Amino acid sequence: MKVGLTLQQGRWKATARRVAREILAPMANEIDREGKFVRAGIEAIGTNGMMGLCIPEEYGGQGIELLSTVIATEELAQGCASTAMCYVMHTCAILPIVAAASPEQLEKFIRPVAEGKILYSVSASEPGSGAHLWHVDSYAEKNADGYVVNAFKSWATSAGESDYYLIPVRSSATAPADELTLFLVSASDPQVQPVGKWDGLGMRGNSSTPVKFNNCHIAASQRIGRESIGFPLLIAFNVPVYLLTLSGLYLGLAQRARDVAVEHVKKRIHADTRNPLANLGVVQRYVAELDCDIEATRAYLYEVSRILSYLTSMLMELAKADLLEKIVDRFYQEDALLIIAKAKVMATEMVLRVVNKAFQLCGGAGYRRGHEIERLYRDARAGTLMAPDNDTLREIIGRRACGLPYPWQAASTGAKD
Amino acid sequence: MPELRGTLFNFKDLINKNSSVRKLLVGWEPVIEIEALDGDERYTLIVRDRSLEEIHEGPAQQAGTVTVRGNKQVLSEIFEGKLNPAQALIDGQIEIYGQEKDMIKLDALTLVLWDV
Repeated sequence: MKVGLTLQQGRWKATARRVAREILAPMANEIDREGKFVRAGIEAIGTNGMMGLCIPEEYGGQGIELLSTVIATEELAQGCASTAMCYVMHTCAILPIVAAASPEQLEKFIRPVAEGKILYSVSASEPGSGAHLWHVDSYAEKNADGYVVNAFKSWATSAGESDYYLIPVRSSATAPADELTLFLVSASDPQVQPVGKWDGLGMRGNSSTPVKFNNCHIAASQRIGRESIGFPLLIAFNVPVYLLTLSGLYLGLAQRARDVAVEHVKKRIHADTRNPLANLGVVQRYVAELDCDIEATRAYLYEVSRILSYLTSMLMELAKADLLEKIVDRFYQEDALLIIAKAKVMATEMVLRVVNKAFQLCGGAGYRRGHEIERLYRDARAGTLMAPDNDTLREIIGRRACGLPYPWQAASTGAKD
Repeated sequence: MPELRGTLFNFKDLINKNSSVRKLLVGWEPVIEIEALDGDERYTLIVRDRSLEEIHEGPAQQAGTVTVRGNKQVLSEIFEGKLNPAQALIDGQIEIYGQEKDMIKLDALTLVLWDV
């Protein structure tokens, strides 16, 4: 019987914890205050071998073992949530590329990732579609040299900082809204233009500005996979990794908020009682609620990550044999996606409950700008809003529970609710 | 003919006729043991040269690369395409022992066989 983490998972947990404590945490307040991009943190993650954790071993990675990646994200988020967010958006770009890339592309785009030399970003949302990945307005126009893309992507984590953007666009002007092709676009292309400076309520170091792809000429060698296979690739390899690592991020953030609050109540002594706040029953009850909430989410997320490691590895086998499209629909039917959607809803709503209570435990001290709990409170707020937002996910979960097709299946068949 | 035995031989024919499945067999030559826990049935499947070449009753003569264990009915349903093997594994209806990559490959080809 295997109890707990594997040696490999334990090793990455320890490595990520060390990086978070020694490198990320000391920089986090300054990054938040000044809105600086988390470049130094990303470099530290790369130096410590974590940029390509989910890359199969044959391309220099650790294998498709998603729990290690989730745990690493959870630990990194305890040092700096902005850094962890850039890590999430980098990591979720990797497997669609691995699944569909040519041998030349694998050498160029994947092997250097395992060596920490490339930072990716995924840029999918558009003004017209928001969280609806199955409805993309922008499209690629094919020409003799490759493709021309005009697209406005509303949110791109690491905008202006990543080396490449993985973008889905419709395969042609006449293609249906979910018939997508994936491209890796170099950030050094002058036609790729980040718009403005990121100035969010929280997650202030992740440069999540829009990016304009302005008459962008893209060589065929930067197309990932066949034309029109983008949506199955995203559903099989991007969405699961994104939702799991994002959930790991908010789990880590909740853990950190809990730890900050517990430290506070152990140290804070009122002159009249001469006892730490931790001695109060009401405080103990708050802390217990935090722990139960966090542990329940962690148990679910880890279990789902183990299952998805297996399923994703199986889908990778099918993708490598060019059989992915035929199988992805069956995965919708089996509802593998739903267990990940539930993880995101759980983690991003749990973190709001936890930071709110942790804030209460820290009292007025936490309300001052610069207190860690104040930053965590703002960082946590992004989770439920991030695409797919929790209301969209709830709709998907509810539809399936009621025996209705996924929204994109309903859209493609023209079925009415 | 016991139900599981017949199902496995039918599975062999289907695999060897299916070009999509045979794509998955490239470079994979395992010895697979199928063990029914509710009866005295055990079969050895030998994959060689992109086909399921041989099925014989009893345990593998050489060390099995992959061992699949479960009740006869569950195993039959998997090899008849009525039950998704990945789901059966997650739900604890079967156990698979062996290298993880072999387990994944076996699940993948069963899935493709009944879906394509």
